[in-house]
Amino acid sequence: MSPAGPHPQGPPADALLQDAEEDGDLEAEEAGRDARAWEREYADERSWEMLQEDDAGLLRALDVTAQQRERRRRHLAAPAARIRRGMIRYLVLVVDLSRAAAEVDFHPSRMAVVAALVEVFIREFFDQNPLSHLGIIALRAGVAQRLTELSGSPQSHITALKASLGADGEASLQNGLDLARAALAPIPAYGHREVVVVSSALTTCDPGDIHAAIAACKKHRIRCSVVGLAAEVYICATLARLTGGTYTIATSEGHLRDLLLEHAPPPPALQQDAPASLIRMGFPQRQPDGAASICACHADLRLDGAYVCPRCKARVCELPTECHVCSITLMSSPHLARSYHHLFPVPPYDEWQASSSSAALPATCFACQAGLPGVAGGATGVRLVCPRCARHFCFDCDAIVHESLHNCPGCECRPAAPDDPPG
Amino acid sequence: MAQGTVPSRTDDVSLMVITLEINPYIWDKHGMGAAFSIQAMVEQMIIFVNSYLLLHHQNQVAIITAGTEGCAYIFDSAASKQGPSNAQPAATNGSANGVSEEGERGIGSILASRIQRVVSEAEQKWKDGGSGGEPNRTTYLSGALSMALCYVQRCLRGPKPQPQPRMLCIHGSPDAPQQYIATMNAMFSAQKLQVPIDVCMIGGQDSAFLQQAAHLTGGLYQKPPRPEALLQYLLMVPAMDLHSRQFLLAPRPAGVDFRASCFCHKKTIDLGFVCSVCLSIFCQFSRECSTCGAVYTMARPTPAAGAKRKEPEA
Repeated sequence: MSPAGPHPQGPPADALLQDAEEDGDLEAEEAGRDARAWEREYADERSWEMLQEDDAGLLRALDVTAQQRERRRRHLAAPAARIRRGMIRYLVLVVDLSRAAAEVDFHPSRMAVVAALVEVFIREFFDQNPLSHLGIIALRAGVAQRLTELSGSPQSHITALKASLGADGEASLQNGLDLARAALAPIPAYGHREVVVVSSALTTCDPGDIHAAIAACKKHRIRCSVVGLAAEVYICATLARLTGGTYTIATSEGHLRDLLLEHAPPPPALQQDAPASLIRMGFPQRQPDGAASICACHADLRLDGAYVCPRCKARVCELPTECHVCSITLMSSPHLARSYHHLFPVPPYDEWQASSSSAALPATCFACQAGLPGVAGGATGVRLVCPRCARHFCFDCDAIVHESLHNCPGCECRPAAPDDPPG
Repeated sequence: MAQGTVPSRTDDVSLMVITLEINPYIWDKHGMGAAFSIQAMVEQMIIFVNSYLLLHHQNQVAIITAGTEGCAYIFDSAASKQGPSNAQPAATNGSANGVSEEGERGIGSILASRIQRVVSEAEQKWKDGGSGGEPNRTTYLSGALSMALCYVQRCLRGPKPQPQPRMLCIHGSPDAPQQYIATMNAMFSAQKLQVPIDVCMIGGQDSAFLQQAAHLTGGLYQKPPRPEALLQYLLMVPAMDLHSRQFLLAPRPAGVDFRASCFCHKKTIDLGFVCSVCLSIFCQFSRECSTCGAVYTMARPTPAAGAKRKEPEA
């Protein structure tokens, strides 16, 4: 790979010159028109030279600073200020199962990759939005087919999708939007209506005017987003732009996963989208184990305890749900608390700069005791400082704190400051 | 995020992260009332940690103290095993103060001296603070749980086979309402990582936070009627590894209170109203949300007229 390297026999001067010319040509070629994006990634960055085997036999990058900065960009981009979000979401997931979904550019096929990632997405969605509902629509053979009704049970969606995999015919975006709009019509006004289309096809084969369907979605305040697997399609971009959604194209399986999971946290919401209201909710008590009861949702005899609706005393076997008898929303307080971190996010950490006072640097991460960079014999990478409590953290804890824990361990170990979220 | 699913972890090597409450208010009350001093607790903890480490030669333990002055690592068995390569002289950072200098022999004495030092510092500050201003009486439980989870995840990033992690929370003080969100966040994170939180309440009252933590994460909650026999309880219940728990009958709490308390009167309610914008809970209808200021545009909501009755799910 390095033609400019020293020749062992010591070649004549003109040969060296020629080598240098060739080298220049090669470089121009690498940087220029012929190199594809993925080739450039390998040719320019030479990522394999940056690897080193550690004590445990795992490959580690020699200097991970740049890589870590790249990965931090994502949650730095997230807004830190408190913004209003649509916490109670009604989302229709439109999965394209047309002929294009059988393409094998994703392995083993687009359809299989989408099915696996949609499962991840559904679990993450209900983890982050326990009060929300989701339904699945499949686009296949020119028609839209409702796989599941809007409901709050992740498992039923996943089984329904897995049971009906199989690519056929054309995709019709208009039919999908119309069916999604029909599904979202009866939901209460405070709910946020959303459609996420996972699209493999580059065409849409519609029975009527798709622009009318888009206008209807806009009128009903349905936020439509599209995640594409192939290439950008004009009508999808228009749909996302007009309805306030996002349109993204996945370049790889990992990228598709990231793009899908971007739809898991509740999106920022405008006040006029969904007027605020007080929702009547019940907080059922759990019956002690061992008492036999028949649950209202499955009509099964259960011995392992059930929840009792405080209004009509019907028994349900899982929360959150809607009472099957009096249709009140049944909820437990942890479910509500699970959503609070969206409202009180941890401020992003700042990267510590070597120029700022280097006296008395902690050698280890406050949270996990791993060695930090910046001191003699320390690890490579970035060192992060919380702007509120000024403790130092490692890169991994930064990711944990902002992506899964949603608490700053340092800030939790000091008296509450006035700018902290209320408890 | 989901670093290790259960099969990738070995089932007999455990990692236990212990959060130990050293709030002088609790221990003071105990010292007078229940004849259980903090010194006696430290002695019992040393026996417990030593016997836990004897269960398997690869067992790991880390101890975090939670007090009124913050939380700190006082013991980390992984650092002592790896030797000086991982040992950074950290004289400046109180939390990591030479965690790794000891060998296998001296766990007892080192643990005792560190706990004593932290406790006496806390007591000193408590006495100093008594003269001026309102001293802080709250234990930073959420901070200790957050640090413990970061530590667990660090071990799960390490070489395979990974130990089965679990957390043990030895706690005494009542719940602090201002830590509700942070404690719940830590709990959900533990649930996602499949890290059970075992709880041993040595205080006078049950903790609703920790009851929920144990319930959600699949841990064991116990409130010993005689705290001075702490060691017996610890050896009987939280010392069980996760694999053995499938075959043993562990004490089960009578019930977990999942009811919410309203933000307006702090009453525990089973029917209430929830703001659709910020999910605050209220016990009575109002025109405006007192938390987020949203003005409710609709009249008193009734159960949606168009709401369909659901089909029984298969």
